[in-house]
Amino acid sequence: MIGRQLIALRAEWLKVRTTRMWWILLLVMVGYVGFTAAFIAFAFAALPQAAAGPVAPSLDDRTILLAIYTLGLPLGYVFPVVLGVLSITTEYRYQTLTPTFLGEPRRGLVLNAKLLVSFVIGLAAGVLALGASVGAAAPVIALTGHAAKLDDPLIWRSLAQACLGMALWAGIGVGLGALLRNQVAAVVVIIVFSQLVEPLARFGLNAWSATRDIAEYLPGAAADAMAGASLYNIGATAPQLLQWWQGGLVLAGYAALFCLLGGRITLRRDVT
Amino acid sequence: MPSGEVSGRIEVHELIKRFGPVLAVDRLSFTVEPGRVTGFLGPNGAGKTTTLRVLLGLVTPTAGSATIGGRRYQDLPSPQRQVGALLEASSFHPGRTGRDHLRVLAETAGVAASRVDEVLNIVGLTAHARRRAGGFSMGMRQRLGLAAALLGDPRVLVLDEPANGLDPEGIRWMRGFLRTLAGEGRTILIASHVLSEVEQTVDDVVIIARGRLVRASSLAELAATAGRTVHVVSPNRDALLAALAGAGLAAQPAEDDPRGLRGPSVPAGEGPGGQRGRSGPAEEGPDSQRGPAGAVLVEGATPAEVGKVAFAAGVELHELRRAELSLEETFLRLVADEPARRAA
Repeated sequence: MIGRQLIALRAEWLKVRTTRMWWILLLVMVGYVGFTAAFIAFAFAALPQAAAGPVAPSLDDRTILLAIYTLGLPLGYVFPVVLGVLSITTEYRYQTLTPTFLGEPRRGLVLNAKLLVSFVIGLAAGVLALGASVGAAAPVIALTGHAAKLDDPLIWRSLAQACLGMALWAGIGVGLGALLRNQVAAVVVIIVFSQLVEPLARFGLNAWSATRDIAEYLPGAAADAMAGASLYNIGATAPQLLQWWQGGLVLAGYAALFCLLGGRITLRRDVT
Repeated sequence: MPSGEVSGRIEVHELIKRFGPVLAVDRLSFTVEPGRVTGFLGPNGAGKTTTLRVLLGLVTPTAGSATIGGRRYQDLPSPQRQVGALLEASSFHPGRTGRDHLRVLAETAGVAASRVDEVLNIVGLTAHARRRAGGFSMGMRQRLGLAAALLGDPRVLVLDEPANGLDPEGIRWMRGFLRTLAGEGRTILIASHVLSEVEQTVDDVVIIARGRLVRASSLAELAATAGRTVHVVSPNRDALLAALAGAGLAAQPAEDDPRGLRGPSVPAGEGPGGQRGRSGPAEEGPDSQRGPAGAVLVEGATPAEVGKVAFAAGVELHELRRAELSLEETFLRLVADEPARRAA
């Protein structure tokens, strides 16, 4: 059984290596994260001159610095999610599920393999995305006369936690792909949820103290907790975040739930 | 003979598959023997592909079983090394090269990477192996699918419409190749909706229509049936039919269809060459064979037997001859008769 799982893993890894989508997406991600992180860092650097109030957020504040350096996670997490989704939905789209399940009729082993491979790619995406946010923001911060504080161990710990968050997002993607099966539907769901539903929900739930606790358990908020900082929690009415490991457990919980449902229900269906 | 622990006999037993309200396979039972090429035949929608997909563990049967060497596909220790399958020809990622597609499958099959180049060579795809499969022609896709089926050097081959998209030379090559494989003791099951396409390749036929078994026999037996159909014309057809029925002969009026090939319930376009622009020798019969009103076809009889019955009953005959049905025509009659029998 372990032997077959390893074989399934190697096959999934080869599938990724023999297509181009993953590195195209990662390249886009690095460009997008780097550019946006540099822009946001510059905006913060320019802010004190424009609106010099007593509570103006400053790049000298470590929380703000942390939030900017870990921007790779909130900006880039859609990419590992999409990569995870694609690992399943392309098989439906190109009908390769037939040869895949002919090769390994134990479908659970295939799902495990996809989950693990996507997790590793998610980690790599995390290293790239957070490298891009730090690499683009730190020079801007230093050049505008602030301390980049790259010697602060807390910053590096947050970056590592954020990388893990990216990997967990990839796992959520695999689960979503297994549940939804249709590539277009899955990508639409991801975009609508990440760009519209969750930001509005976080904003709305944070408006009342009674619902604020719920907001912490939204996947985006849980991911922010892994980074230890968020641009959402800047200002006087800053929402709380979970502990980083709690955030990790919440993300892992979403991934496990979706994979379990997908594996038990949709993946067992007839392949016609 | 490829090594392996299971025998290559395919057994389908009382198989039922329902897709919602649709009964795709209806208590189907048949066996496929090793060392022979078996044609799995039936019109589009007869349930062939569903049966194959159940056999390969891709579709869960509603009831009954389909096994290879007594085991379900998903219970085979290393399925791809026992059973090679070609279902849809285009089951590949278009961005992957043909060779990479096979490398991925070789990985799961647990065969050496060198086997990929071997099978590419066997199907004649070596020159195109490093091109992206999305740009392959239909014939090349078909060859790639066959290469995938051969990867594990399996003792059982299951091919769904393998001649699809192949040029005449490719079809001839495929015939010879499948014959060779069967000669090595392997089990070869080929599904097709046109008998003439596989007629020169198969030893046995399993014919289904609307999910049910219509005929399972050797091709020779089917040919014998084809030779034993009589075309007879009488001005007093009803009397002739009554006499034949009285003598226990299976007869039916042939006037609805000029060549007496099909029952009235089969829509136009289901015949050979109708659906996918396929062409086959079955179309070669001249239209001048149009039978006059009063024509009757009698199955499983000789002209002498029919003439004797007519003479004894005092029925006037204008024509009495062997129908000279081709195998394809016999096949079409078999699958067309099915709904009439069900309605009765």
